[in-house]
Amino acid sequence: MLGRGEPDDELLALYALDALGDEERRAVESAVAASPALAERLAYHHDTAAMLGASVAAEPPPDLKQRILAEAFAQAPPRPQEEQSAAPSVVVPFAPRRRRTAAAMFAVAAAAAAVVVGAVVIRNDDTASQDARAVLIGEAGSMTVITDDDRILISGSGVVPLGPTQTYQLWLVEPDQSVRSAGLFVPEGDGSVEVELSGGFGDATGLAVSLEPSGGSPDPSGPTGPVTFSADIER
Amino acid sequence: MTTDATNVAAVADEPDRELAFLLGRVARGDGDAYASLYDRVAPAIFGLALRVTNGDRSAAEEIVQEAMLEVWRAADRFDAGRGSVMTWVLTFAHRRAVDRVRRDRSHHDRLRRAEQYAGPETVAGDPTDRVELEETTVRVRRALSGLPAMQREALELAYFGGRTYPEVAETLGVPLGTVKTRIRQGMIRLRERLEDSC
Repeated sequence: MLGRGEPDDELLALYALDALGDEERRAVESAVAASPALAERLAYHHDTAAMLGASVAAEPPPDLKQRILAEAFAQAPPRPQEEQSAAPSVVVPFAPRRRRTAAAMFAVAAAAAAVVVGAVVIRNDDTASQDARAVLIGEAGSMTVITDDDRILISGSGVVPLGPTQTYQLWLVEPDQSVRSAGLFVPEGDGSVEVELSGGFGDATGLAVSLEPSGGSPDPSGPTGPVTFSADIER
Repeated sequence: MTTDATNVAAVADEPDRELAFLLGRVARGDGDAYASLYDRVAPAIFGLALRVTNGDRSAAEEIVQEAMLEVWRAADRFDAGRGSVMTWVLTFAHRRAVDRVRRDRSHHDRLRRAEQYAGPETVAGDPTDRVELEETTVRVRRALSGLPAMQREALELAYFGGRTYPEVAETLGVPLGTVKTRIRQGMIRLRERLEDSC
């Protein structure tokens, strides 16, 4: 059916549904790779197929998330870290959306599926105004970090457990955006954290927690693993 | 230092952009963004995989895992100009689910299924699963129900049934060319109806 010509729109639609056999599938792939117009049309069909797919959403088992997060964090992060915990948040540039309908449809699906946005809450503790304090709440758990300048206390719960060769590392973000390690900690098997590290916040303005191999980041100047928590310090 | 919360809130009215925003952070190794992205896309992946694998929960869990680990590994290769994050993730997951059912389904099973086929499936989902009838679901169901029955059943047998179009033709007992036409017309019309309902 495909012959030597371009795949017709029927084959593109069938491709988007994964309804072609191997031979026709490969033929469509090579044709699409050579033609931006075909790629555009295929993307249109893929959007339609995905809308169909998103319409049968079902709640996955609750423990699946922890398993997947643990496995992902045990792998190398997507790319080497560039002191990302210290850098100001970068606004991702968005390509102009050409398929507004797809976006609008998924907007509804995504909003309905959303549970809690990974957020960071910072508060001052009036009863201990001398103490700097930061509360780190994220999808990978929550922790409270306080200091009295001699020690740093970390208390948390629901923190994603680690493999035997991993550790969390606490980083202090200095006013010049450089970072320094404040120490390593490992949550209990139940996800709770009760740790005391020596030292204080100094002049640091922010905190970050990264996931590192045992012994901590191989790079003393910053995290090499994924940053799982970050927050400003307010005093 | 700007917090995550500030930026996320700024794009919260644009959840599709929010997915792209989160994916951008994942590409830079942000584990917290990854966890947030999971919450937004995992139910769609799980539901679709459950449907295509005919209710095989452990298979559906594995497909969620494969898809989410692919997100972790390939986040930096995502091109926002080429489509939405949800499309990217569901395209990947659907292919995995289909590969799995085709691997598992012997020729004998296919024939038996064809004989047992009693009519079009609906998009209502397995009632034993807590399916949230979101606005999207309602819209898609309404759009689907507006299709001619022959287009709808061919489309659903292909996409949710994981069948190739020759298998759909065999199941329905109609010529190949007829099935191809029905499926494409069904997709075009479904899309038109969805756009009208937005």
